[in-house]
Amino acid sequence: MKIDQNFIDKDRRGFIEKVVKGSIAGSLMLMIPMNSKLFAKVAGDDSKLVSLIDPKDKAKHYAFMVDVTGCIGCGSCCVADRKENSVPQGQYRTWVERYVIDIYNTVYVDSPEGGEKGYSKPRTDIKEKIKDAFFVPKLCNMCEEPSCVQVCPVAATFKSPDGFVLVDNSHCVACGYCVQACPYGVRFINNDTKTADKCTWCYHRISKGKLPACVNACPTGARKFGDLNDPKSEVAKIYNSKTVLKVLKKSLGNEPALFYVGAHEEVI
Amino acid sequence: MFYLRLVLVFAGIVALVLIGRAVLIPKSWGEYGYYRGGYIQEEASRDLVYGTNKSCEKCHEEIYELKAEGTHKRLSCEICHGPVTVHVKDGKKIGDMPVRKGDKQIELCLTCHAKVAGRPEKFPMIEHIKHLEELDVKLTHTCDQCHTVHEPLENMNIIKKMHELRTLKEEVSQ
Ligand code: HEC
Ligand code: HEC
Ligand code: HEC
Ligand code: HEC
Repeated sequence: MKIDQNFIDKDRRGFIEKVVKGSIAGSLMLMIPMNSKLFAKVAGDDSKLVSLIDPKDKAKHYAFMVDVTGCIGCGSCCVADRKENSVPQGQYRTWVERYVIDIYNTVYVDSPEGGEKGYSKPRTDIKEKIKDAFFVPKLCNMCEEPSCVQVCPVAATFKSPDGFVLVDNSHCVACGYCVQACPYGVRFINNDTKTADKCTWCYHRISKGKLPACVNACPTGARKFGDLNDPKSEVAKIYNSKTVLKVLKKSLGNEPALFYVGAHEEVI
Repeated sequence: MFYLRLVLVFAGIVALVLIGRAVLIPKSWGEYGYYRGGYIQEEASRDLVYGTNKSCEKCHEEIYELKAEGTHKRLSCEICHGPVTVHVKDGKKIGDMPVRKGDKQIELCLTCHAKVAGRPEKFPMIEHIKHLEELDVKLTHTCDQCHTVHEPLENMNIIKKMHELRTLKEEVSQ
């Protein structure tokens, strides 16, 4: 299959053609069990990596932390994310939810426009007295055991050796299985590229030694990113301290690398 | 004879499969696992849109330093203005940065500082109208008429003194 790297095709026929080609390629590859070492040889020389990163580097263990007690719900992270990753309007790689709990322990959750405009107005539709309220930013959980990767029929989404779940959009056939499978709802079919898309923790930024765009934009340091194996990093210090960390939907066994600090049990 | 044909057909199928694989499977498939390994590099080399505050230092040193030591030190310049890549390319200014004045500016400050349930109590918040009323100024005042945007506490002592003097003057004249 000839792959056009900048495949951005809004035309329908092209899309169908791609689906057909993609699935034929998929089924042919399945005919003989694949040995990845053998194929590395076949791949030849031009696939050599020329980059700052070494995806095989397992000495690093990247983690993302969100400090719910620090989030002011300003939406700066969402604004930065949209521009950094050219996310179409109305779709979100990251968003901020508002949780409000009344004195009868009813939990109200809303996220108008993904929180992108900032929560500068209070909720007015809650009649009861409010007991507690807080903001919860959401993004890709970078699971150790990602459900989205398991269901992809064409292996367009995968977990890189350094632990990042990525989507090869030149391979994606937009079947949407991964969108369904993700327990955290972080995936969507991008309206511009017509392929599956999701937060990458700004893999293109961290591989050049920069923080993810949302972490860089956060005015209170509520979003943190770093290497758990580097004892000097903030995330490692928190991880190794007495701070209670929470992962979302732990019982599912996806083992996220996204941890929440100060998140109430109501947060799901 | 029959067997020979069967063998030929079989060989044909195998050859087709092998050619098919060679044509259809991308080059770096299987480099790291059952996926196109080359994508990792493609994604990693995507261009940045946002820089960091350091990207402004060289050309806007004064503001950079004022902010770096002030109460807004954790803020990204690009959140209040815009991504550096629309403003600078190869060390030259290529486009304007949005500068928020008037209502746009009030809106900007309030996205972070408006008093809303859910924001941590320790965070400095104001109720817009009340804030201006308490200081006896017209409700059309923009934030930068008192606060230096890049270091909002810079002139606060002067502002407070001015406000005290004014109240004093009013009391005396009554
Ligand atoms: C809190 C939001 C905020 C942040 C953070 C911020 N600015 Fe500004 N900046 C403004 C606003 C608002 C104005 C318009 C100022 C005014 O009219 O008083 C402005 C004006 C400017 C101007 C025009 C100066 C002038 O006097 O006309 C420059 C240059 C500038 N900012 C650079 C920076 C740089 C560099 C940084 C980072 C070190 C930065 N800003 C961070 C809000 C911000
Ligand atoms: C290569 C030098 C350079 C860098 C780097 C740079 N600027 Fe500028 N900037 C300029 C020049 C030149 C002007 C126009 C001169 C002036 O009016 O002071 C300007 C003007 C501005 C203005 C006023 C509005 C305008 O467009 O005229 C703002 C706001 C601003 N810069 C913000 C920033 C921020 C924020 C950054 C960092 C993300 C940044 N600049 C990085 C050179 C630079
Ligand atoms: C992106 C969010 C954000 C925006 C936009 C923003 N601020 Fe701030 N502001 C902060 C943070 C964070 C602090 C530091 C709070 C702290 O020390 O805990 C702060 C501190 C302040 C303080 C000092 C409060 C105190 O008593 O310590 C003032 C005053 C202030 N900002 C005014 C402004 C004004 C005026 C604007 C608009 C030009 C503005 N801010 C825009 C996030 C923001
Ligand atoms: C008339 C002058 C004036 C104007 C206009 C003004 N402020 Fe203030 N602001 C002050 C003074 C004085 C203080 C008190 C500083 C102190 O107590 O140290 C203050 C304090 C603050 C604080 C800190 C509150 C706290 O509890 O710590 C914030 C946040 C703030 N202002 C934001 C804004 C914003 C946003 C605007 C624009 C909507 C604005 N201010 C407009 C004079 C002004």
